Amino acid sequence: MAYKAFSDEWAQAYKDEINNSAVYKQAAANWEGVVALIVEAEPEKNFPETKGVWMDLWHGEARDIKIVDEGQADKADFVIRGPYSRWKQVAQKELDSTKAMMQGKLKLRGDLPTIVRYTKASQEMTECTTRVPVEYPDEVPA
Amino acid sequence: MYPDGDEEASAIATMLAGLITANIEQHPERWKDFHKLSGTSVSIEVPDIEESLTLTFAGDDLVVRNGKQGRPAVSIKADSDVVMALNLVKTGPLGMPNYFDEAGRNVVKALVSGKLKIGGMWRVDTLNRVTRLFSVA
Repeated sequence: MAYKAFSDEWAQAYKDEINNSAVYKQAAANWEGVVALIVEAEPEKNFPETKGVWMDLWHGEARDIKIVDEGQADKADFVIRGPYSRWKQVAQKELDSTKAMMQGKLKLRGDLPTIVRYTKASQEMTECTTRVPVEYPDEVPA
Repeated sequence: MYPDGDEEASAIATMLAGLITANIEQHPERWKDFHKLSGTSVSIEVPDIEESLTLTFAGDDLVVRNGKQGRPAVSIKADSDVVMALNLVKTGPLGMPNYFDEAGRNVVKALVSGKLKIGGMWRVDTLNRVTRLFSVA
């Protein structure tokens, strides 16, 4: 079963994937803090509304992952922002998220040293997204 | 941190300069390294994202320029994943970078395999200071 991208059901499946990952558990063993991904609207891609993915991550565990509005997402300790199509590229492993930040394709706000320290955990989180079957709005037949 | 003239600093230049700034805020003892590097330039070339930058230490300031500028004392050339790996090198006893743990060994492997090229390696003192300023470990 494929989940609609960035829907509540997708967020739950993503959380389960993270919590099933031994690699993530080890790489993020000391992580504390909320990370939010802001997925900017691209109406021409059938993604009309900006959404936030709120990820409450604590010592190798995803305590909560939910879809929130942009204003709420902006309050997280770490915020990574980019247009829908960029996030789709990241989720499909066509674009490395760290490289995307270095190129300015994704914008990061938060304590940089902390983010850099957990590069491996962030890479595993991307791996987890690839294991969640997704239905992308720009691929849904009209 | 200042971009060069009217040109806007690239994302990686902003990121690396931000990293040094945050590191110094969190470890004020690293100001000593920062000041000792005054007048020194370090260039970083990242071929996989087709970006390069030059950092020049100037008293309390860090001047960031896009591209390789002038004659840097140390020049680093590596893909983005290796540049990130460099930031994970820990500082060991006597302030020397620790190349014996996993993060350190990854950097040594990159050097041996040619994935990391460092010009000016003989300037050990400068290189160690730069490593300490970049280290988030």
